[in-house]
Amino acid sequence: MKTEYKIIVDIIEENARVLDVGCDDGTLMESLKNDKNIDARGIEISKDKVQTCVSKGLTVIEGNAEFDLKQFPNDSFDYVVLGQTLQAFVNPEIVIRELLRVGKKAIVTIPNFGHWKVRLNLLFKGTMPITESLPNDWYNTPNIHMCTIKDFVKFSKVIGFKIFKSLALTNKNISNINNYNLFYKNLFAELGIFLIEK
Amino acid sequence: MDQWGGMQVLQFISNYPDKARTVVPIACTSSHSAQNIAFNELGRQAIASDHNWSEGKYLSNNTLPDKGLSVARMAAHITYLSKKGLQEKFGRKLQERDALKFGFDADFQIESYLRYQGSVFVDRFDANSYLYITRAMDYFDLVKQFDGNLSNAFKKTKAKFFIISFTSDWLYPTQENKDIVIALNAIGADVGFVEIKSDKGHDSFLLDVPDFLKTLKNFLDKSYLERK
Repeated sequence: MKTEYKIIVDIIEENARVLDVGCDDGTLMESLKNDKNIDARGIEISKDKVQTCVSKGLTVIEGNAEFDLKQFPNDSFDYVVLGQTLQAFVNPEIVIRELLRVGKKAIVTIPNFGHWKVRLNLLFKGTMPITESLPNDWYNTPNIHMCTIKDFVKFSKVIGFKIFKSLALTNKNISNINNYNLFYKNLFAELGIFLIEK
Repeated sequence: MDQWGGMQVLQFISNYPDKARTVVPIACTSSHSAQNIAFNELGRQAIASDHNWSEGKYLSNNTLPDKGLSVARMAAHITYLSKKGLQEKFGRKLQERDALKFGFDADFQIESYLRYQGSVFVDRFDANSYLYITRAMDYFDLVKQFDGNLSNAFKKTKAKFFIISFTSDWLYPTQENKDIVIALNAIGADVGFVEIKSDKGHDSFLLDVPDFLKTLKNFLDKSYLERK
């Protein structure tokens, strides 16, 4: 399993109510079922992936988080998970607010655009960075709102949500992010994982 | 189940919340739109305008309102298909002729096809039944039954729902199917949903649409058989 998913599964306690936004092929939902006895719900924009999830016996609705989270009442879930998709929304601010309305807590992961490879890429090549985790060209990328770990921390203050836990993933190593090491984590982490609350 | 069946499925689980493990409403709605009622009314008026209908007493008169019933079927049949599907299958192709005949016979293949659909329908369907069934569908309103809150219809059930709609179904469009999903999510019910890509309109549910059949099979295999 991806280290990212392992971290998320570790954060969530048994029998919690979980919504996986952009649940992809349901890998995380399956782990939650197996490891934490959680009957998670998923929402996924791709028809093919919804069908994959259905074939695994998972409860998934086809939809776009930007419009379809509205249907869930306040605090419907203990956790809402948003894995590496915040940057793909037209309005990430609305999505974050919706996540925190629908869920008591949210777990958001972001591919870190502050990573040194991305920075060098732009500095020396002078073109929009293309990396392993961000393989698209600027004109066909779904990732229209890239941000760095530092940006996300700043974002939390602007929007007004609390970050309870922030983890950095670097070469499959997990470490905590705090005010003192933010500069370095923002340079070396490939992924930021945040547990947030209203 | 499709629409008529779909309504029965919704009513059934609402009346008997613990009598089904899985519920799969396909291409349906919780109440007819004005457009749905309009098309049904067109069919009913076609039947009522047939002289042979005789205010419904055609059996004792030994006649059948075949003309009216077949026109009703022709109109309804159009609503089951999509514009794109019709265009691809028939376009402006002519029916067994090289040029237009400038009369009112079936010049176009689509005309001939509809007439055929109408004519075979009268052999297997009763006109008065058509009136009553379309009326029942128009009257069906699960939202109204539950004082404007569809969620309440499903409050008592623990069944696993899976809702399926089709991209080209303009009779019971995706949004109306989604309204059922929304009502279920509002009460934390176990509901999945997918919109299947198909050019075959509402009729997709009874035609060979591999994506649809595969999805339905996968759902039933996992959610019905394995939960036994």
